Amino acid sequence: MPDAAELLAIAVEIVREAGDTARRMRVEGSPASPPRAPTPMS
Amino acid sequence: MTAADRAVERQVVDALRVRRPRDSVLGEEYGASGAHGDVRWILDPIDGTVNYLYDLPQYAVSLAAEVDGRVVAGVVHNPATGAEWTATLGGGAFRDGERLQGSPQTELGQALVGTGFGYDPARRVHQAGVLHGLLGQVRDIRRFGSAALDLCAAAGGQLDAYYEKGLNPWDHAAGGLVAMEAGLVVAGLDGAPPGLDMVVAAPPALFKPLHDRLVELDAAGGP
Repeated sequence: MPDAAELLAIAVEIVREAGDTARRMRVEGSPASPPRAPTPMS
Repeated sequence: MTAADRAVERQVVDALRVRRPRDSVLGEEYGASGAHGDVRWILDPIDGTVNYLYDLPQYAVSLAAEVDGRVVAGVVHNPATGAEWTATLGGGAFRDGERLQGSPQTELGQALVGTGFGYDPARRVHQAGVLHGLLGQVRDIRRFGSAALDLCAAAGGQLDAYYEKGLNPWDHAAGGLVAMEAGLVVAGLDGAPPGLDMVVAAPPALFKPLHDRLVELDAAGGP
């Protein structure tokens, strides 16, 4: 059985790096397509 | 879907493949991938994409680890604010290291309730009807646009309770664990597990009155 705390530590590190990517793409204005409503995602 | 959704999901999947090559990943953008080890990761690369597009600081990266069908660890990270919620099964829920306990509210009539709406117009009409029937019986409603962050807000008592129809596993896996570990009841209606038909997250004292009102309003029904 994998250790939950160990899995969480991996998740936290990866998600922080991914969040940096999302924020950077937002700041650089390259998140992509213009919003269409309604769109099939949230 | 945005380029950022795809880029973030690809980055997370690649990172997991390096660190956990035997695990599988279920992501919003690319679906299921990877091997069939003990762990399945459930990822929403950007929960609250419309907020993200509009530069509203209410979006999150959500990642959960599931073992034998149970979510055992989860993290929800808001890149715009830096706030981060974490939980492990049986280990409690935390925001930036501070333990969460949910709202002490016990009266539905005094409860600030979060919810969200789907994208299908027919579903929205049904959800509007549910809202119409609920709004007079609660303190007020909030609709922030990110299910993962809504669940975390309920975990921290910033919302007294939360409900939404139409959530996929990546929407509620991590946030649901955070809410549950903060002491909230996280479930569907009529004994169902939380899922596509309904996710309700509320402190024990609020769960039944909110649940029963949602049943009366057929909140899990409709398109």
